[in-house]
Amino acid sequence: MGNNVKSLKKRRDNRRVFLLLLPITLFAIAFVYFPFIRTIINAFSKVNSKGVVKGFAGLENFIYTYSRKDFLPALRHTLTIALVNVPLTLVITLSLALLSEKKRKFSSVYETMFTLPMSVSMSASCMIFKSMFSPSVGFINYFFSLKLGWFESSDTALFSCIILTVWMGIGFDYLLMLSALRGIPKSVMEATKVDGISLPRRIFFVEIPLISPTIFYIFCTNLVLCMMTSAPMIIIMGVSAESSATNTLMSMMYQSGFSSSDYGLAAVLSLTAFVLTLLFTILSFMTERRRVHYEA
Amino acid sequence: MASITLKNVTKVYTSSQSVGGGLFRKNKEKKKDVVAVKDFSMEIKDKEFVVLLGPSGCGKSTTLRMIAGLEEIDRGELYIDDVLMNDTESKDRDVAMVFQNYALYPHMSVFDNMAFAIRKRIPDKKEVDRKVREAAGILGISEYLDRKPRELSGGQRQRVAIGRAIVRNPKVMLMDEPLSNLDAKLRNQMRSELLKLRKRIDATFVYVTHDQTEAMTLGDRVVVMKDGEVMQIGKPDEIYSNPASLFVATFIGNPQMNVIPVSAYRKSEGFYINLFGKELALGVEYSSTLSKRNESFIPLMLGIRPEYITLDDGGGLFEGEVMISEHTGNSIIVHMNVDGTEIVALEEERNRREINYTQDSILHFSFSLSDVYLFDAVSGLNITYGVGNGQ
Repeated sequence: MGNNVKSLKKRRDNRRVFLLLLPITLFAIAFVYFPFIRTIINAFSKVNSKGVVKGFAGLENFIYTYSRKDFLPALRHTLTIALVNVPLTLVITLSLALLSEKKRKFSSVYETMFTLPMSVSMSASCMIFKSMFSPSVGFINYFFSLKLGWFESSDTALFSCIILTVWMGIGFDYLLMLSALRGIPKSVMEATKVDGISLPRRIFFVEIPLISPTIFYIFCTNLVLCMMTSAPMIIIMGVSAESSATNTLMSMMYQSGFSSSDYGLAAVLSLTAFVLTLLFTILSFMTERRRVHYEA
Repeated sequence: MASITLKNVTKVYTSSQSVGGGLFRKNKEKKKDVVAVKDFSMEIKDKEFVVLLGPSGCGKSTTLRMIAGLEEIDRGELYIDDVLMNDTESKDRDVAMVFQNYALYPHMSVFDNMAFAIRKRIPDKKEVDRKVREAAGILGISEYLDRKPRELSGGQRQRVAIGRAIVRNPKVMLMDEPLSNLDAKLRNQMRSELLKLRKRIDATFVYVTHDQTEAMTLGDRVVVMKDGEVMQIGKPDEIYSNPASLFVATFIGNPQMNVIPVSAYRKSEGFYINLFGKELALGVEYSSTLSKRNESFIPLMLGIRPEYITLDDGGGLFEGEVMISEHTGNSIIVHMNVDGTEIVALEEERNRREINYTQDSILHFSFSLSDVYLFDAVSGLNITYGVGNGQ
C-alpha cells in the first residue's frame, strides 16, 4: 500500500519534470538537433537546389569541397582568426582587468568604458568600424597618417576583421576576468603583500592560476566563436563578396548554402568547422586537467 | 631584535550609508566617521608575546593590520626597532602574518606554499628545501609536503600557515585569531603547541584573539580593548586580579564576575555599604579612596568573582535560592536568586561537600570583603586601581 502511494507520487513527479522540460526540449530539437542531423545527412547525400535529398552520394561532396580552390584559403583564414583572436583577447582583457582590479574612486567610470563594446550591436559596430577605417574618410588613417586600405585591401582585410572581432568580444570577457580577479579571497592577496611577493610573481604564480577556470572558459567560448560564428561579421563587412581575402569556412558556407543553394557544399563546410572546433576543445580540456585549478 | 612602539595610533573609517531612496528617487549618502582604533599607545619589547583581546569589532584586528601594513595609519606613529614605519610598505617591514582563514595558496602544494615567499630571497635551492623541511618538522607536517591545502584538515592547514610564516624568520610575527576556525579540542592542542613553538622562534609576537583562555595562557602581556580604545594593558594575572574597569573585570573570567549595584555611605568611622540587607564596613583601602570624594552617598558596582564565593548549608552570611546548577565535570556552577539578583558561585568538584545543590533549595554563602572589587557606577572604573600597587 505504502509502496503504491510512493510510486504514484514518483510517477506524478516524473510527469511534472517531463512537462517542465518539454518546451526547451522541443526548441532544442527544432533548432539544434534536427539541423545538426540534417547537415550530416546532407553532407553524404545528393541534394538538389531546393534542398531535397536525391540519393546517397558517399564522399562525393567531401571530395568536391576539399578540391575547390577557395577551400584552403578559407580554412587558413578561419584558423588565423582563431589563433590570433583567442590569445589576443585573453591578454587584453586580463591586462585591463588587472589594471582596474583595485576599487578606486573612478572605478565605475572606466569599468563602464571597458565593458561598453558589449552594448553595441554587431551590425552597428561593423558600420562604425567601416567608417572609422575607411581609406578615404576614416579618421584612423588620418590620425596615424597612414594610407592603408584596411577592409578594402586584400593584404589588410583579414587583419582588420581580427581587430573588429577582438574589439567586439572585449566587453564581456573583461567583465568575466574582473569578477574572477575580485573573487580571489582578499586574505590570499594580503598574504602575498606581507610576504613581499613581487608584482610579476603575484600575477603569474597566484592570480592567474587562481582565475584559471575563468581564463579557460573565455578561451573555449572564444575559440568556438571564432571557428563557428565569425561569418556574419565578415558578410556584413561585405569584403568576401569581391575578394577571397577574408573568406572563412563559415562565410563560404553561408554563400554556398544561402546564395548559391549548394547544400552539399554548405553541409560539408559546417561539418568540417564543427569537427575542427570539437578537436580543439577536446585538446584544451586535456590540458585543463593540469593547468586549471578549481578550488576556493 | 624587534621592538614595536605605537604612539597614539588611530584609524578612522568613513562609512557611507545610503538613506532612503526608491526606484526613482536618488539615494542620499550619509557619510559617517567610525573610529576603529583610538589613540593606541604601547611599547612592545623584543621577543615579547602580546595578546590583543576584546569582543568583535573592538579594533584589535585593525591594530594588527596597521602593524602589518595592510591598513593605513590615519594618526599617530608606528615604530619597529625605532624606525618609523607609517609609510613603509608591508613587504619592507619584515613581518609575517598568520590569518584566521589560513589564506594559503590553494593551487600550490604545502611545500610550495611554505617555499614561495623565500624562493626569491634565498637563491640556493637546497637551502630553501632545508628551511621548509625544518619548519615542517617542527610543526609535524613533514608527511604532507606534497599535498594541496584542500586535502588537509583545518588544524593541518593552520600549521602550514604558521610554517609559511616561520620559514621567513621574521622579526615580527602577527597572528589574527589563528585558532578560532578550529574545533575546541584542536584549539587546546594547538594552543599548547604555540606555547612550545614560541620558545623556538626568535620573534616578537602580536596575537589577536577574542578568547580569554588563549590570551591568559599565551600572552606575556594582554591588551584588553573595547570600541577601539585600550581598556587595560597588563600581565595576565594582573588583568585578572586587578582589573582597571568593570568592563575588563566582567570580560575576563569564566563564569563572569557577579556585579551588584550598591551605595556607599559615610558613617562616623568610615564607609559602609548595604548588601542584601546586611550593613558591611568597607576596608581602609576603599574608605581612604572614597573619602577623597566629598560625597556622603556614592553609587558603586560591587564585583565578586564566582570562585571566591563559599557555599554552605548554614552559617553563611547571605541566603539564596538555587535557580539552576550546572555540572561541568570538574566544577559546579550554581546560579542563585538573592533578593531578585542573580548570584553565580563556582565550586570545585573536589571541594564539594554534602550540600544540596538542587533547584529551589536554600543555600547560604559568604565571601571575604578583601576579594571584592568596587567600581564607580558612572565611569565603571575600579576605585582602588592604581592605589597602593604602584601602578
